[in-house]
Amino acid sequence: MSSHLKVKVDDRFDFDICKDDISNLDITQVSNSKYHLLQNNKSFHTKVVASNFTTKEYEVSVNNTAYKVSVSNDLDILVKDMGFTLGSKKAISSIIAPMPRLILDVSVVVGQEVKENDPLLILEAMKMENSITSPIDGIIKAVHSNKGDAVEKNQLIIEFE
Amino acid sequence: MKKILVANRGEIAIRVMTTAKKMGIKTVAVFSTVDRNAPHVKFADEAVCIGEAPSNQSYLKGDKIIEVAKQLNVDGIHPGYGFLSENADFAELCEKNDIVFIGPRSKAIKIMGSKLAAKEAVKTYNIPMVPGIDEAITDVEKAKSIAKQIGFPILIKASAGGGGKGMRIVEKEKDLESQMKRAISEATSAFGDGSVFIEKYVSSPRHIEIQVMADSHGKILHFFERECSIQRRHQKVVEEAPSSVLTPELREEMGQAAIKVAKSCDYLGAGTVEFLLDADHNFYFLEMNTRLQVEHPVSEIISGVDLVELQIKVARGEKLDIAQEDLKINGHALELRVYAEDPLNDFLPSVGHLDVYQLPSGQGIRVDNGYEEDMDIPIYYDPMLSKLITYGKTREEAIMLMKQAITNYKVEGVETTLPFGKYVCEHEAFTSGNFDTHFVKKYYSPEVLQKNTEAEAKIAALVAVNQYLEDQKTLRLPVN
Amino acid sequence: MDSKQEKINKLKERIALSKLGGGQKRIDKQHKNKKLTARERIDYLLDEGSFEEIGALVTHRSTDFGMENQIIYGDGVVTGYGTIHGRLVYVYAQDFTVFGGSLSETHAEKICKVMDMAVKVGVPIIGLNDSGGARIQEGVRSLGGYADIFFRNVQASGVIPQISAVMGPCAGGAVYSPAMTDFIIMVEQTSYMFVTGPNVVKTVTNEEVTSEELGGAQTHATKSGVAHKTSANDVECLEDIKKLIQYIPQNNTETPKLLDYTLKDEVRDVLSNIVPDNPNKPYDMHEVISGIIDTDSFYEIHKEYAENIIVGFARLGGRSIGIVANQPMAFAGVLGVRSSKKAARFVRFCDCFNIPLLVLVDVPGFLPGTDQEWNGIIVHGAKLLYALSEATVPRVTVITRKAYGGAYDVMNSKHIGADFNFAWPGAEIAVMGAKGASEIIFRREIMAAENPEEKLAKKEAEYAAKFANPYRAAKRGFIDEVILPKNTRRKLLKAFASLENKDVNRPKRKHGNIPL
Repeated sequence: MSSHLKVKVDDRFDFDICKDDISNLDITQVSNSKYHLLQNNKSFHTKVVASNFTTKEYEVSVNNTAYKVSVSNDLDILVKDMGFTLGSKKAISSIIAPMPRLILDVSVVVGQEVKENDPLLILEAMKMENSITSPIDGIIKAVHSNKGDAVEKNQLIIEFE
Repeated sequence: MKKILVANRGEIAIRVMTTAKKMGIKTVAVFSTVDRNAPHVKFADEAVCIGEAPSNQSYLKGDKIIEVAKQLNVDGIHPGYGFLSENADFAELCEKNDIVFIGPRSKAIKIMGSKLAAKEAVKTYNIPMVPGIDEAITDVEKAKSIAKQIGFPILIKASAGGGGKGMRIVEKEKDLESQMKRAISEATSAFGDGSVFIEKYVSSPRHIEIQVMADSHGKILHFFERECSIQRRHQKVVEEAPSSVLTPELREEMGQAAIKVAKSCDYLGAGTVEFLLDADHNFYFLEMNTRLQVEHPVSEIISGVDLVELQIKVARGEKLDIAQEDLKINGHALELRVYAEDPLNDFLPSVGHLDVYQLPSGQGIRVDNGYEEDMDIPIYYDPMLSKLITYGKTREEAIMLMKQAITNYKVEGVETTLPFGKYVCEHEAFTSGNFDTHFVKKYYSPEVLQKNTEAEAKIAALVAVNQYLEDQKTLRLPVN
Repeated sequence: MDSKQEKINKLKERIALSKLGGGQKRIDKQHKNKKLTARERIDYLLDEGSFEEIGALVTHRSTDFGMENQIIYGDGVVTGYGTIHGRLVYVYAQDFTVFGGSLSETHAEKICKVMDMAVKVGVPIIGLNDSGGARIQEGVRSLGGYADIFFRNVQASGVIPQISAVMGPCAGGAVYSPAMTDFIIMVEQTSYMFVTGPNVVKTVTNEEVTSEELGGAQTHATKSGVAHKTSANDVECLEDIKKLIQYIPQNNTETPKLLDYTLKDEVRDVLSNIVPDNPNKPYDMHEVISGIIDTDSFYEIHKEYAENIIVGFARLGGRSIGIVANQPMAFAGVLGVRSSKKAARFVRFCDCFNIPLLVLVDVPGFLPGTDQEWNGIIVHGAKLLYALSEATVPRVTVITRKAYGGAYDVMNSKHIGADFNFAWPGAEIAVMGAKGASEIIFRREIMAAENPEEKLAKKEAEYAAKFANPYRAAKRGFIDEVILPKNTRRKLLKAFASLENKDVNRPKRKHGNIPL
């Protein structure tokens, strides 16, 4: 159990709170979700309006103004420090032919900068025309085949920088 | 007058229509495409779309509005404030089309619309004005001699301008030339007219204005003063009635002066005469606003009248059947303009969606409101959401009620001037009555507001963590 | 005699030690290698405060090679139960900081214990693998430990969902446990799986290959199909598991939980414009899937393997379903060895765990070529046919365009027990494409013609007009209804709702003999 927590309020303020801060709080429970605090002799009427233990998100109203609070524990901080983010993309450096195909059209040249989903070339296989789009944002390093070429399985067609 | 068209939107449209309904008069609302779902449209008996969102394609289109008025057999048009309310041409257009313009005659609007003409008109009544010259000039040498005459510090004001543009304070003579040149160039580029007035700069000025009402039978009444010194960027945010510094004698003096100003332009209907009050309680005429003003409710409350009702009666040609002696001040009223602006970001408009919008209510609380929960704030118009007005038997009571009302006013989705209002009500300078138009400059900065918020945010954080630690202790059973 | 307090202190000491695993230095190293520790992974995976550890103080019993002097509590694996989104699961996470996460007799016992418990109460078991392999010092005892686990994997197979995450090394015999579980998710860059490592490979076959090339996440996702999914890092992997769990039930006697969903008109106009007019132009079947299912509810399995068929979980009106769909954009959507295997295993998983199946068909046939034939397309293609025929969960088919030849039969046709078969107006249900068919049927006419090409084209057009449509099949009731694409979702919502209580039995037998 972590004794040191990072708390974010309204996406604007960041606080470091440890267990001692809580045990030293002059706080009394008034009713189920209402608490009264005395801090520096000032009086605060607070209410826990909403709480989600699983996501560690809370909504607290202090003297009738509502604040959104997000609590992060040691693991959350560790994950953030290690740079683990969700939704990262893979690095792809080449386009190869997955099976024998005929190249109908190549629409890029060496040195061209392409964005994800830009069309690169059109291949024909199984009587179907397939438009191959770029899987990444990148620059074309090399184009190894031309319009009209037939490529073998696993043959390298395009390389990215 | 059986039917009135309100050529406006938001809270003032609803405010005017409320009184019209009370008087048994039918109401017509006009709206732009983006205001289809606005409360003022739903409030009226009839409503017509008059154009696209930008004001100049809708609410400022006088001819379109007249067309609608004629189509629907409207007897009178109330222009509210802003938009066409001080547009002399529109007033004339109404007159020409046999529709009653609920306001002054176009002549009065023209006179009071020009600072020069206004000063000329009131001169004959010996209304005290800020020492200065009566004509706008561009000559620096002339400015120097005038300044020497009236004494420094002086204020350079653009003749054609407003809103603080082309205004410069000059403390010392040696700065006059450069400041003059800059003021003229600013005015030329902003208004196309570089002529400026030179007048004495009133330090520690308070902005005091008098509400007047004139009928078509020669009677002019005043409804006491309003103190409007809490302003930011020369726009009022907090107003109150009566002022905390006026003595009954001064009040009467200013009231009479205001009546004379109204007389000088053959006024009709509701109007406001603005004065500047200096530290020695000398008052100087600034200008007259020939319309019903935003902050009129505070005057209504302390004098016990419905100003819109009087406007309509006067427009109908009726006599004002109240005597000046019978008007008395009852209690104290305070108004906070609730703008959708971010006080932490230089009061820049805070555009967005009203996720939560709940008005405070109760004894001594009145909200002149123009929005509803779940509405988007359109970017095309003034960002005022409502006017929060409180009144009590004493000034202290009004302030206390205002603080409570602000706390209970729930807005989420946009930033508002509510926290700023709270800050004002808690500030010693305001509560003591010891403030002037420099209040915001002297005492307010976003950091100050931020600090208060930060302290509360920390409390919220502590309470949340406390809850979290409590929750951790609670046993949770796995459910299969 | 220790006082009560001293006894409590001793307990606290042991617990503190057990939490450290192999020590802070090794924990730091794990972090440096961009890996979380076993406990951190469990903490992240399970709901806050829900984890109950079992066997924290277990130690090994080995006395060979001085092992008796190296006692670490937990013996390299953290085991226990907790909840994910409130649902009970059993979990084990191998601790790389303890003896490299290697498997000993007692390490295996701990894993077996939680597997047994999971089966007893009927909840999923999740294994987070991060291990150097067998603990060599234990010799055959560790091999025995592995076998105990493998045996249990099989007993539990099809009884409770078994999910494996490979979050570090997993080599040698160790790989067979994940191999027999239902899903394998590998973490990119930091994990690998192979039976024999690069060193032995070099000595035996002289191939030079890195661990990553031989058995990294990308390799197994694209080449071998061993990995069902890859994740960029530990955290994404654990999130993927949390997402996956939501589509499947706790055990084979339950159905997945229905999510709340407010029905509206459910017409999806977007479906009308996906299939191009030109039958030789491909389209992305993913678009059809998105157009049919609840927004953003598709969880794809084996995304980069055998791309000519798409499999994955989705929600339809809050109901969890399994989708099998041909992908015209890859290899024209033909069926081949790998795509058949991929789809067949997925179908069987859904059948084990009462997850209804939606099959979207646009298949021109089986992939021709020696590569396919010599690799047994006959047997592997049969796998999918077998799996679908065997499945007793609700099965609904929508033919979007082509359904030719044997592939028509295989792709959940009415004849193999599909409950509802729909077709779009552009569907072509025929023995083969118009051109090929005409070449065969009218061969004499074409050869005898003045202009054979023109004749072929004419005959092709005739054939297409007559056969390249869904109506001959509809006439016979092989297709229950020809529907407008935009109404597909409406039809399917009703279809699956009506099939909720489907109850079909197969003849009693020990088990069939699916061509493996």
